[in-house]
Amino acid sequence: MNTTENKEYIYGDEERIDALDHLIFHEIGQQAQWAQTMKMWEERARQQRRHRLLPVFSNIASVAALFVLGLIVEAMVPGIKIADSLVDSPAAPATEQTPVQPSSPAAVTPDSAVIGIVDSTASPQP
Amino acid sequence: MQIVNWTDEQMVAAVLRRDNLLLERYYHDCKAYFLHHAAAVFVTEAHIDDIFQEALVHLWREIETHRIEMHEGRVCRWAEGQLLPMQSSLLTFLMAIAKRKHWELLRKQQRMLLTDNDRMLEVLDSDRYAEPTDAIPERDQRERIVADVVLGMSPRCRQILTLFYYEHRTLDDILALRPENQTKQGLKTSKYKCMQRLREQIRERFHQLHLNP
Repeated sequence: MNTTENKEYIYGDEERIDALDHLIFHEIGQQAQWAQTMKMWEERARQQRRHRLLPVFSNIASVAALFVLGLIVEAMVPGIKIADSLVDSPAAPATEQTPVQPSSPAAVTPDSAVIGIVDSTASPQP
Repeated sequence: MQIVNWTDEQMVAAVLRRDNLLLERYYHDCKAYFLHHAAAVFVTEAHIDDIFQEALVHLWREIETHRIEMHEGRVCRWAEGQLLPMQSSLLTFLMAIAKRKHWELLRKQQRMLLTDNDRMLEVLDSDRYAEPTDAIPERDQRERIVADVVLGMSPRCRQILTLFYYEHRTLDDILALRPENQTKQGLKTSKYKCMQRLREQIRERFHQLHLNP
């Protein structure tokens, strides 16, 4: 094949191409296709990993958000203990509980309905 | 660590029929193996992903252009003018290609001397100038030579030519993607030189094998 024949203009460039160039372009295309396919596989694997991890992070985030919310409520409402109950810690020793006289009006407040309210009359958890 | 459940024969067949479902699984298994052994093979971890992909494209193009093919139930490769059974697995062969690409990169980056003691690297080059003109149809020989030369071009040329000729990007687009080229004229010159180098190398190989250009 005569390479000086069959020339044509391509891609708006002034460069002239011949049959050999067509072979080169074809090969560049084949290799680029494989490379693109592999990149697509990589991206798919990355997304699958992300989807697998998402529920885990979501659960962690939910617990953390609840914990923070508990701390905020604790700070706003005196005497309330929510964060401790969220982490499900063993019951604190009786000596650490705030001593409240049974006769004290503080033992019977409207807040007593809220979970975690300190009540010295309650028996310690096993 | 080994890639289980895969034979070289299956891989060759999957590449030839472009079984993307199978090849995707192979790709990930192969990459896991590659990364597991990369620390022992490569001096730096830079560009490891790119090297792996380039090496795998190289291997798969060798299969597609029938430089590697099944013969009498065995995986064979054209070497020294003959189709010979491969002495190593395709995975070992892949690692050798990756190692060579890595060294070439280092040599370019750090001007290191390439001291090549690896038998596999010799095998990789052994058939470069010894293709039998009668055993392979001329069309296949031409395609194989073009594939080999294009596979060997520098990452810089690969990027420029792929963007321009495959993705049909304009020179302005490529200029924006490649800050290394400062002017449009410089980029145009680079593109021209890359193409010219490919043409010259291919014509030289054609000439050695008395193939029509």
